[in-house]
Amino acid sequence: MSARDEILARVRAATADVTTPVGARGATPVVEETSPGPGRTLDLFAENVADYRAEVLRVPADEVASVLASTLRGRGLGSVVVPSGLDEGWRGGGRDGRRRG
Amino acid sequence: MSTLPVQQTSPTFVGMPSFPEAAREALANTQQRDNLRNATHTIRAKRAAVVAEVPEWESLRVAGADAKDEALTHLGDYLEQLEASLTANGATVHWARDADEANAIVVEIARAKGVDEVVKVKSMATQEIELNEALEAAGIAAWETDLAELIVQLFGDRPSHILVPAIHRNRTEIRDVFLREMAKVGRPAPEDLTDEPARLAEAARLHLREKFLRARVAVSGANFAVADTGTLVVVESEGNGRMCLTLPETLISVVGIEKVLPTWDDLAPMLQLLPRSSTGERMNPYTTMWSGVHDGDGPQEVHVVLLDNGRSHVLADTVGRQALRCIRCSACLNVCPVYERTGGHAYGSVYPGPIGAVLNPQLRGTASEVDQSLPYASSLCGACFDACPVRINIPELLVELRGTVAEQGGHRAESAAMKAAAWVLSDPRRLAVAQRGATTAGRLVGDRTVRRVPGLGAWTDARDVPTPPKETFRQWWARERGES
Ligand code: SF4
Repeated sequence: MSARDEILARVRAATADVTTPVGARGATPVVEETSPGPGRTLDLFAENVADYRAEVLRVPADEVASVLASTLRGRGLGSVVVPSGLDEGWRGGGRDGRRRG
Repeated sequence: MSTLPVQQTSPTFVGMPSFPEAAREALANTQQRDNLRNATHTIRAKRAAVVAEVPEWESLRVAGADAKDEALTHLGDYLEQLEASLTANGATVHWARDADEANAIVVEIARAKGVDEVVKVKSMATQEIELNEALEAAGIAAWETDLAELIVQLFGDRPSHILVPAIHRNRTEIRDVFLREMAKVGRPAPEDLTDEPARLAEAARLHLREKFLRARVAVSGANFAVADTGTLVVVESEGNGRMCLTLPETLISVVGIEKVLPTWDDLAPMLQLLPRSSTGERMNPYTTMWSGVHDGDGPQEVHVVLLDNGRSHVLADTVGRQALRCIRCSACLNVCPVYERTGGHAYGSVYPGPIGAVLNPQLRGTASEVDQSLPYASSLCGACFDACPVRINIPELLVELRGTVAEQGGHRAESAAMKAAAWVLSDPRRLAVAQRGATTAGRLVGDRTVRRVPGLGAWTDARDVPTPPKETFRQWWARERGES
């Protein structure tokens, strides 16, 4: 017998006592906490990230590019890698140094 | 008892002394006791704080236990579903009845790739099968990549804690071993290395980075394997796992068959339960999930080895199978008064602490001296059950196993005592009555230490049992909180 068939036979033998059908528990139970509202959720997120020693800056959407640029410059960084799919607006006027291959 | 095959005790642990003997030795090691006390108490306090933050904690525990029970009681169906999903995602699924088969599969894949080294993510399953040794025997070096495992490996030691494997070493010892050993296996440690944690971590990072970029094959375990989506999950703290799981071209994951979760949604309770119970964090810093192969992104060859190695034997015991719910968080170790004093090596296995005291004799059977003594490595205080995020009733299992051991050997009186104990422990009200009985005895005995307790067997020879408390935890709780 192959290892696969033997292991499957073993676990079926081991669970021969089980009478409930598979999936009988119904939909996956969800443990929910009532949302405290978007504002409070955002505060909580910022608090928790800061708790992991991240520096949290809260900026309006149209200032992301300039804040990013000044933060990077403040650390003396002239170039940075970005993932594909990054919001184009975030790069602001930054030169695209992407190379393929 | 089930006739399904048990796990073979690996050569490392064959002839391991019984728990009391090994524990006596460990108790004499002051360095280890200090480190253990500090580490377990720190993690214990952090865990308690972040668990108390979650009002639904008990519902989460129930949801987590239910998810695992659904998977375990229909394991055949979910394993087949997992295999089908993984295969549809482009992964290759292998099955291994035991350690030798699993090791042979991994060695063969590494050989086919023509490599002489692999990088590894910390994984208890691969420790259990002693994969590193098997790879080494095949001329393939296996590099552990998390800090503590790296330390353990450079020392040539075995880990003594699931989560903090180097808990028995101090910083000066670690600096010395970095200076001595790193150069032999890769990038050397800086000559001016001190024992400051930041400097030690940096030396490890530089040493490891060279290996991540060089290696073409990585080996991991998995914390969860989701049947409906064919997704494997690894949670970790250092980011070394992420490097192993994404950079090498070939990824091989050795996954115990009990790691299956039925659905993606089942990850929701699990990913809340695990980090809080494990490191006392709200969320672990790195969670990596991968579903097979993706063109141009991550490993281009994904292998999954599904490992039995005694698990089906454990599954066959209708009471004992709950031990397979274990998500290896180590909360039970950190709250255990016995583990706190003896450390991990005394358990004679890669699974130490309360869960090791049940899982090892379940997986390996109770033929050896160490496996016969493990069910006695407990005072049955119940702290492990209270801490366990998937509600494994470890005291109940210990008592059941004591019965098994006693039945096969000459401990007949003990066997009867254990059956009575099982009856008492199976119902919280009976337990409360019995505990009040024990504290009454405590008042009578006063402050004298009880040297031998009936039913605790040889274990009490190595460790004085404290006089029973004047008040049980439950009584104290009821008094403090006004609940019962
Ligand atoms: S038995 Fe429970 S508490 Fe102990 S390691 Fe397993 S899941 Fe964690």
